[in-house]
Amino acid sequence: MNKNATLIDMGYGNFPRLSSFFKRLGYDVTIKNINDSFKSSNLLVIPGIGNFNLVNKMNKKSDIYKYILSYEKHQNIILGICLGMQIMCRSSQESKNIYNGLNMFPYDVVKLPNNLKQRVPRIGWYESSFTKKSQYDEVKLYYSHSYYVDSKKNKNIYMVTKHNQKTIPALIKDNNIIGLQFHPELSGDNGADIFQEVIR
Amino acid sequence: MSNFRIIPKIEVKQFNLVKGYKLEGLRVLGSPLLFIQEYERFLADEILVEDVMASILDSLVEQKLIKDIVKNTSVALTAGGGIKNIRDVDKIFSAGAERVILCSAAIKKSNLIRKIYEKYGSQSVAVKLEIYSKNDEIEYFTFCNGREIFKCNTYEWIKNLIDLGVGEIYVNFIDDDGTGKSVNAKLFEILRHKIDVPIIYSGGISSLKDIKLIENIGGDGVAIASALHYNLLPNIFDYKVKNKFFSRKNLNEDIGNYEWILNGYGEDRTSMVPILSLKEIKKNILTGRNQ
Repeated sequence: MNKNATLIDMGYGNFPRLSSFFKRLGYDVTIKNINDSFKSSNLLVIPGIGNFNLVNKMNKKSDIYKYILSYEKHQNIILGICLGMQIMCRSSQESKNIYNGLNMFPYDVVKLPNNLKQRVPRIGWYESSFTKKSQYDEVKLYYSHSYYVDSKKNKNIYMVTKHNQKTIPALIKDNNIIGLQFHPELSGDNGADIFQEVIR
Repeated sequence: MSNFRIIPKIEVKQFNLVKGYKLEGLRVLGSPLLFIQEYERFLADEILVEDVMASILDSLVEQKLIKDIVKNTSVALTAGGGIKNIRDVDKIFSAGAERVILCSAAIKKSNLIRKIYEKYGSQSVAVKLEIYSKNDEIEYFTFCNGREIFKCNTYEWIKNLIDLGVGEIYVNFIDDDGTGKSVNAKLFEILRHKIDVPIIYSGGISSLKDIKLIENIGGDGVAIASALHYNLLPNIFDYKVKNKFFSRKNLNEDIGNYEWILNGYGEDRTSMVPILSLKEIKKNILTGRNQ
């Protein structure tokens, strides 16, 4: 039986690209509105479209919201992509630094520094490397963001990438919760390979 | 380490890929998806799709086309053409594009930029500047694919766009577009210093030298149309013949366009656009996405 993946729709329409990405990997994909009734899913995806204030719009009484925050109990995978991963953190400069994030990762999100060599938003294909042993060395992945998760070296940072000289997290994983700063659905074969490796 | 982007520019008129000469005399080259799939195969860093007639015809870039492209490719897509309000923007994102690009709306309703920025973030909104230049200075901007003229305090206006939240600027040199006559490095250098968001050069690029020049000046990428499309055209025509894609019996309208591409157009019959293959570019220039 196929595993199922549920994508959360926060009112930004559907996600054709993400749907087909997970379908290609063999998932049955369902798109759910944040307020829809919901029980469980092998993989729950918080997509990366919008801005951090989105988190304020999440209905805290909804099944999905409660399910996300009880991740330690159910042990199914919660995956945040780009903004989705940032929402899983504690706070963001994009949202006045108040602690309104989901606080699943104990980090703060801050604006990328802009300079002559590397402008913001940071858009395009960037080298990304594993901090742990992996069959991959460096891979190029597709990014499109203006904020990043501010975290020093930590055992949960599985992959990093560089913004000018600054090292920033590309992939955070803490047991069953995973955050990706890059877009696996836009990173060709690399995106799929890394995703497969990390959920293993 | 480079994150320079090669972006095939897919100008469309509804469901057809078109190309003009200095934005005029648009000719149909074929199905956008056939071209885009070829470009993805040779590792295009992103794709730009814009309906160049939409603003003139008061329509919006076809969402069915965007859906079709998104379904069949997995390379990031910037799309635009005829966007007037946030509902149009929602439609384009729903169809699956990763970023929208504005031209007329940036001039007529610049506040829309702020709205998109607040809803989707600055990385999701680009603006195209159609630039008419004289003696390495910007004379004026145009919109509606070169039809309408817009004069303003150039750099102040660009700064205003960035303050509103634009995340990326495409500079399109309209007098070079479709000619393959190389790039305006001097003016681009000035623009590079004035613009502190990513900036993509478009118009007249037809050689590796052009691309390297833009990269050295500090451009974040180039959007190329004619040089890439014309290079693919013979293959695509072959494909069409083999697969009986011709829409009319025995004769089809594209032959006229093919003749035009091979033999030139109007007074510029002698002016040829050099062709360039994406494969060749990727072999010689270090970009974000390489094998």
